[in-house]
Amino acid sequence: MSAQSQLFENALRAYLNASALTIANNVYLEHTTQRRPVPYLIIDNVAPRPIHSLQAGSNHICRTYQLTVYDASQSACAAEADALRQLLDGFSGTMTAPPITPSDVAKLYKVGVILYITQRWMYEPDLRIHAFAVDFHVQYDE
Amino acid sequence: MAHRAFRQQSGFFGAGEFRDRVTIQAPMYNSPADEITGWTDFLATWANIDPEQALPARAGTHIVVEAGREISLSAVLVRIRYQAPIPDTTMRVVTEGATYTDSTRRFLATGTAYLIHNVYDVGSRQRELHLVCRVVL
Repeated sequence: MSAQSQLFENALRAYLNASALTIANNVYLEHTTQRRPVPYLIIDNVAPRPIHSLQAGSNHICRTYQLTVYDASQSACAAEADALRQLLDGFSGTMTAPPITPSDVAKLYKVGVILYITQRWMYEPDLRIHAFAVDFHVQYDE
Repeated sequence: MAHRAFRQQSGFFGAGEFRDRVTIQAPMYNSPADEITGWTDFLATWANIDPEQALPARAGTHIVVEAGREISLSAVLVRIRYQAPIPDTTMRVVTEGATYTDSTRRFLATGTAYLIHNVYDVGSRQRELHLVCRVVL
C-alpha cells in the first residue's frame, strides 16, 4: 500500500482524541459506522476561506470546520460542546497527524489560530439523540 | 394473504399467530420534558412482528447516514390484540433478547427496539392493533 497523504483533519482528530473531552477516542472524519455508542464527534470540512493579498495568495490555509457532538442527553451534549469550544477557541501551536498506514510518516502542522464561529442545536428523531454542531475557523501552514 | 384477509374480516385470530413476546415501553422525561432519560414498561403482551408487512412507502431496509453515522432503517408492522390503554407514538416495542448468528458469524444476544410511528385500531373494531414501527440500528 502506498503512503497515504496526510490530512490536517487527522492531526485535529489526534489532538481531540488525546484530550480530556468525553468524546476522546470517539472522533471520526465525515461519518462513522453503525451502532456507534454515544457520545462521539464528527469532523466535517465545510469550506476553504482563502485569504489573498492584492496580487497573490497568502500561502496560509484557512478552512472552516464543523465539529458535531452527538449524545443521548441534551444537557451532556451541550456541556460537551462548551468544553470543545473552550479547548479549541484561541488555540495556537502545533498538531501532529499520526501515521495511518505503516508506510506513513507523522506530519507536523503549524496552527496559527483556531477561532470559534458559531454553533447550532439539532435533534435526530430516528436515533433520538441530540447534536451540537460547532463551527471553527482554522488557519494553518503545512 | 387470503388467510390474512379472512382473519381481518372475521376478527378470527389463529392459534400461535401472536408468538413474539414483547414489552411496550413509555419514555421517561426530565422535568422540562425535552430529554428522554429512560424507559418504563407500559405493557407486556404477545405480538406478531412482520417485517414483510411494512408500509409500502418505507418497505425494505435502507442504509442512510444520519447523525454522522450509518444507520439501518427498516419499517416493521407489529400486530397485537386490542387492549386498553392503547400504546401511543411516543412509545417503543422491545422484543425479548434472542441469540442468533449474523452473516459475520458473531453471536448477538440483544433484544430489538421498534419505535412506534403510528397506531391503528384495525377496522375500528377494537380487536386488533397495528403498530407501524421503525427499527433503527
